[in-house]
Amino acid sequence: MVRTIGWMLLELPTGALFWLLEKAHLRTEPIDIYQTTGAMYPAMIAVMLPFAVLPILAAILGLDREQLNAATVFGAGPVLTFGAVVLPAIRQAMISAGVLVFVMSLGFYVTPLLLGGPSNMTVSGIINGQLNNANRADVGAAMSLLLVGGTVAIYLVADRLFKVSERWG
Amino acid sequence: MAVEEAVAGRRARTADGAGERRWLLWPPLAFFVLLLGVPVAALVRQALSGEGNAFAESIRMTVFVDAVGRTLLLAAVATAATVLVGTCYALAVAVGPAWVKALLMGAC
Repeated sequence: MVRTIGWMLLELPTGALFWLLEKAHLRTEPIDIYQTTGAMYPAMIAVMLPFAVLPILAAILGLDREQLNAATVFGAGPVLTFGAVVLPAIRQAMISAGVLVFVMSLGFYVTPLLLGGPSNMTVSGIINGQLNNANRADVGAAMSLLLVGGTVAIYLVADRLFKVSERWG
Repeated sequence: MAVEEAVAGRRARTADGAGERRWLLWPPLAFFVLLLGVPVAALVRQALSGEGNAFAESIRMTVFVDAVGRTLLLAAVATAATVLVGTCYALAVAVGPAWVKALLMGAC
């Protein structure tokens, strides 16, 4: 919530981003990214970052140092070492992190509401509208169940394809 | 024969401590039932309480179908970007000096 409001203050037409650009003499007109699709992505990445960083960092810290030393001894540069040694070792952690972030992103509510505006409503926003504005609690509940069912189905498919539960378990 | 196998299986489980450790399953199961099972059951009850078929009505609503597509696209793009940024971030935390590690993990 705090991060999202921080991004909101940054992206307002005459917000912190505009202030910076104006001070750098790069822009004089207010910025019109607030309440657009593009405005949501940086905030979503900022909110979801810990869920990606922690599993990937754990995989990186578990790397065999001898393999990295061997790559260096045999003349591999940083790019080749990353592609041939590091990336294969952390690939499964990246996939697990991706599944976790994707499943959690399906339930995003506050960030799209504050930064995306009414034209970028996600499923959670529509459910809220049915429950609080349209006074159709039954339809809102049905939509919630469809969202839960879809999320579980996506997770099961991802687990079947990438064996993420083995990684977490 | 089946009874003997069941008894042998039970003895084996008790021998390796699995039987004694089974109580460890109860707290997460209770947590699961209370925090997921009960709300989902309440949602099912609510969804079936209306006059029409709320599920069919939801799927027929253009605004809901559009929102599903938008949510999936948003989640996919955010996931790809987060994993990319997260990998760079984790590499920086892993190889950086102590103050960089502390700064990055604090900001994360």
